[in-house]
This record gives sequence, structure tokens and C-alpha cells, in this order.
Amino acid sequence: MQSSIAKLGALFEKDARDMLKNPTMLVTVVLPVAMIVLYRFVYRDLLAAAEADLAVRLASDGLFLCSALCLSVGMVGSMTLVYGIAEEKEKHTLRTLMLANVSAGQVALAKGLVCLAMTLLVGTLCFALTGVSWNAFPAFIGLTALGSVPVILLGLVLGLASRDQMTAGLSSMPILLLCLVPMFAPMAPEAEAVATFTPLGGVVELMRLVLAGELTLEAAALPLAVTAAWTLLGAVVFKLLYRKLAQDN
Amino acid sequence: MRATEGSKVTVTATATAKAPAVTEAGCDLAACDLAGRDTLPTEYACAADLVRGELGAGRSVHLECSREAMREALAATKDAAGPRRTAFYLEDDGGFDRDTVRSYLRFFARLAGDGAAASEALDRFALRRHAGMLVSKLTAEERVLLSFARMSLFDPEVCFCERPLLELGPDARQVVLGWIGARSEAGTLFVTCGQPLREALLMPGRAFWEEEGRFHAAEVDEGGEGGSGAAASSDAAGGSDEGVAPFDGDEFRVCKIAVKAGDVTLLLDPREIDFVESANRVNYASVRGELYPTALTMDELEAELERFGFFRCHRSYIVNVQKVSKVERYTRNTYNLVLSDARHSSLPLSKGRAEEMRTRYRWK
Repeated sequence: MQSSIAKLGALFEKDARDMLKNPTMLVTVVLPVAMIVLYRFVYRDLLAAAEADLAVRLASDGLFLCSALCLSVGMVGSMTLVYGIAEEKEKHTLRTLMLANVSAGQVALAKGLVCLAMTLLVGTLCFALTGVSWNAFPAFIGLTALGSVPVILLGLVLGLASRDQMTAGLSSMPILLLCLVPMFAPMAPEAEAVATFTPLGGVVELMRLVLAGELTLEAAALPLAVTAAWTLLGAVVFKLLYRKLAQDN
Repeated sequence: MRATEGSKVTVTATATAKAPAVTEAGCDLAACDLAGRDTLPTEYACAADLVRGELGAGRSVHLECSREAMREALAATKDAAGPRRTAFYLEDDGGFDRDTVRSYLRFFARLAGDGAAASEALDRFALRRHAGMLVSKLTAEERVLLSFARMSLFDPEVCFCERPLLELGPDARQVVLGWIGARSEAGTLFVTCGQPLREALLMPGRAFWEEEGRFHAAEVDEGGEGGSGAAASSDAAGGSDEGVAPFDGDEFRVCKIAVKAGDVTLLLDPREIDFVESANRVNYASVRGELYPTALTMDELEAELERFGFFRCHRSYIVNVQKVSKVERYTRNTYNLVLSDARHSSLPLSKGRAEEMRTRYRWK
């Protein structure tokens, strides 16, 4: 047990270091923050109006927090993981680790934890830039963590399924797009219809309920069920495939 | 010896100095006359049987084999090692490009459970001066040394290496062979795969060569363990001294060694030859790093070349002693000769012939 924890610690440290040294991953970490800064310029009229009008303020906070959540989970949660694992497969480092008595589960757990930590860090930075009251932060960070779980599980599977970094670009695209759908729900009715059922649809809906002060057990049932379903799906797919996919190409 | 189910092995007595290189293929182990002597299998049906059989019997094994057989040997090693501590070096091991040599070794030392061992490995594999360098900036040779340093951290009981000496110059080869020798003495079992057979013979343990998917032992030409076996081909390509007239000493005798280079027959001055090697039932003369096949048998070559300062250092090797720059010893039974030829080749020196060589050339 002690040895497993020590291995996990070593893997966690290596993956965290790797994420900060890898330019591709760094871009995916910086991009959500940059997007929020950009949003502040794009929606400056809305932000100005929100100063005077509480209803506008509510809409503005919802827009910014949902965007921050979707961008940080979608980009960091999916892309860094898929690229990171694909690079390890491409360069055979995953094989080297597994031949060094490290299990596929330990590798996946370390990567997942690093990814979760980075998602929360980026989420915090994004939150700070939105200008929303810090009273909403505990709910925001909790829902970001909750929404990250299914995305990380799916990211792990897609990363293991990618032969190299080139195919990782393709593999990460569907999950990234799915994660970003709830961002566009207020703007497009078509998106709104499907947004609830996307991996982050549930937590985004919960965020809106929290901001509007309408969070009840009844209202939260569907969003929670959607999130639980994606988490379960991610866990089952990961459990079924990770041993097989952890083989090198 | 543990014969694996379904495998066909041929057994010969190791004590028989002139035993045939490969006895009849396909003979069942049970049918062989063991005669109560220490016997070793000399042929296996496939790489997996070979690895399982030899590791199961507690012997290191070195294969001259194809890439396909390498993968088979890797899988069999993983399987046969069981719960023992293992370490693997595969020739296409890569990645960790953003790590420095020091951080790479520290990371693996932590995985091995001994964080302090990284510093020792840096010194042992002559990597201290590269400690701060990125792994991606290392030369191929340094990268192999780094892989061996990584393996050393795990204190392995079973070690698998693909083409371990391929990228190594004489100094790095000495470091790696020294480590392999020391680990062997400590009880680590090695499985190595690669080419040529000469490299397999340099390492402690038994050497095998592949022919049409089957594996033949490089036969031991003297008592005792160790890698000092003759390639199975030496006698197949060999003959006897009969018909070679004794050299009187005051006559002028032309000596040219005929070798083939494509369709051309070259006549080599013996002094040009660095060594003669017998591999896969063909004899080769090595000249400036190139191997040329010759139709002469090892015994004929030995008889011809002896007066030009050549010595039969192994049943499969005749060395130009003038080209020997170093004699290395890694274990009690493993001696190697390092040549000052174009490739700084290393040749095996049989334990029994080491004493003869020392006496003949008055080396103390």
C-alpha cells in the first residue's frame, strides 16, 4: 500500500511537471483563461448594464460562470489528458512505465488527478476573471469538480485509444465540442434542447439554479441524473477498455 | 532443467569437448541419454520455449534472433519471471524528452522505492557529467547507458534487454558488460536478444542462434558454465589439420586467405585480418570492420594463420593477437578480448583458452 502511494506520488509529480513543460498542454491550460479575458471585452456592454440591473446581472453571471466551467473542464479535462496519454503511447513511455512495475490503473489515476487539479486551478483563475461575487465560488468549484469526473474518464479512454498525438487531436475533438454545447445554449434554442444531456449539461444547469436561487431537490434531479449517467458511462467504458488499450501501438 | 510442455529439445553433455555442435533436431528430451551427467538442452523449437526453459532452470540466455523472436522472448520473459523483480530495456524505448538525466533517474528511483539510488546510478553508468542535460539531447550511446542506469535502480532478479551492445562504443560497452557481469554474479538472470552472435557470446550465460525459427545452442567447448561456447557452426564449417604440411621455417611460403566479396574472390594478406568468426555455419574474415565469407574451415584457418600471430581464442573465433588491445573479465567465467580494429570489436575468450593465451604470449 505504502509502495503504491509512493508510486502514485512520483507519477503525479512527473505528470504535473510534464504538463507545465509541454507547450501543447500549456496552450490548452492558458486558452480558457484567455477566452474569459476575451469575453470581458466582447460583453463589455452587458457587463456595464449588469451594474445597474439585477436581472441582467444574473444573466451575465450565468453566462460567464457557465463559460468558465465549460471552457476549463472541456479544454483542460479532455485535451491535456488525451494529448498526454497519446504522447506516452507514441514514445513508448507508457510501456516503459508498465514494465517498471507500474500498473495501468496507477498511471491512469495519477493522470486523472493531475488533470483534475489543473482543471480546478484553471477554473479558479477563470472565476477570478469573471468578476462574479466570490460567494458563488464554492458552488462553482464544486460543480467544476463534479463535471470533470465523467470528462476525465472519457478523456482517459480516448487518450489510450489514440495511437499518437496526431490521432489525439481528432479523438479529443468530439468530447471538447460536447463540453462546449451548454455554453451556447442561451444563444441557440437548438443547442438548448440537447445541452442538458451533454456531459456538462447537468452541472451547468445546477450552476444556473444556484445563481437564480432556485436549487431544490426536484429541480436538481434531472441535472444530477444526467451527470451521474455520464460518470457511470465513463467509468464503465474505462473499466472495460483501459487494460486492452494500455498496450503500446 | 524444466522442459516446457510441447517443446522439443535436444540435449548434449557439456563435458564433451568435441561434442557435435547440434545433434539431431527434434529429439525428445526424455529419449536422450542423460547418462547421469550435467546436461543442457541444445535446441529449442521457438524463442518462448527457450526463454521459459532456460530461465526456469536458472540460467541467463542470449539470443541471436529476428525481431519477431525478440517480441516472443519478451512476452515469455514477462511470463516466466513471475513475481520476481524485473527490468526491461527495449531498443525503441523513448520519450521523457523534457526530463533531465537526473530527474529521469530520480523519478524511476522513486518508482523503485529507493530515491537515493539515482545518484549511485549516475556514477556507475558514467552519466554524472550529463546529469543536468535533457534526455532528448543525449546521444544514442548515452541513452542506452541511461536505460541501463534505470534498470539498475530496480535491483532486478530478471533482466531483459534488446540489442544491449548495439549502440555502444568500447568504453560504454565495458560499463554495461561490467554491470551485467556483476549482476550475474549476484544472481540476476539475463535474457538478451540481438545480433551478431558474437555479442551474445560476450555475456555470462548461454548463447543461442536462430535458424528457420528454431534455436540452436552455441555449444560449450569446455567444462564449467559461462558464455564461452563455440558457435554451433564451427564444426559444420570445420575440418581437420590433415593435409596441411608442417611449416619448416626456412622456406618461402605464400599465404593468402581467399574470401568472397559478391562475385569477386579477394585474396587477403593475413595481417589485414582482425579476426575470423564462425557464425551460422559460415566462416568470416573481418577486415576493417567488414566481414567476408571464406570457404576455409576454422581448423584450416587456424593452422594457416597461427604463424602470423593469430590465436584460437574460442571455438568460433581466431583473433589477430597483434590487434588485441585489452583483455576484460566480468565474471569468473567470462573473458572478452577488445580489439583496436575499426569497430573496437569485442570477442569472447574461452576460460580454458585464456590460460593458454596467457602462457603462450607470456602475459602476466
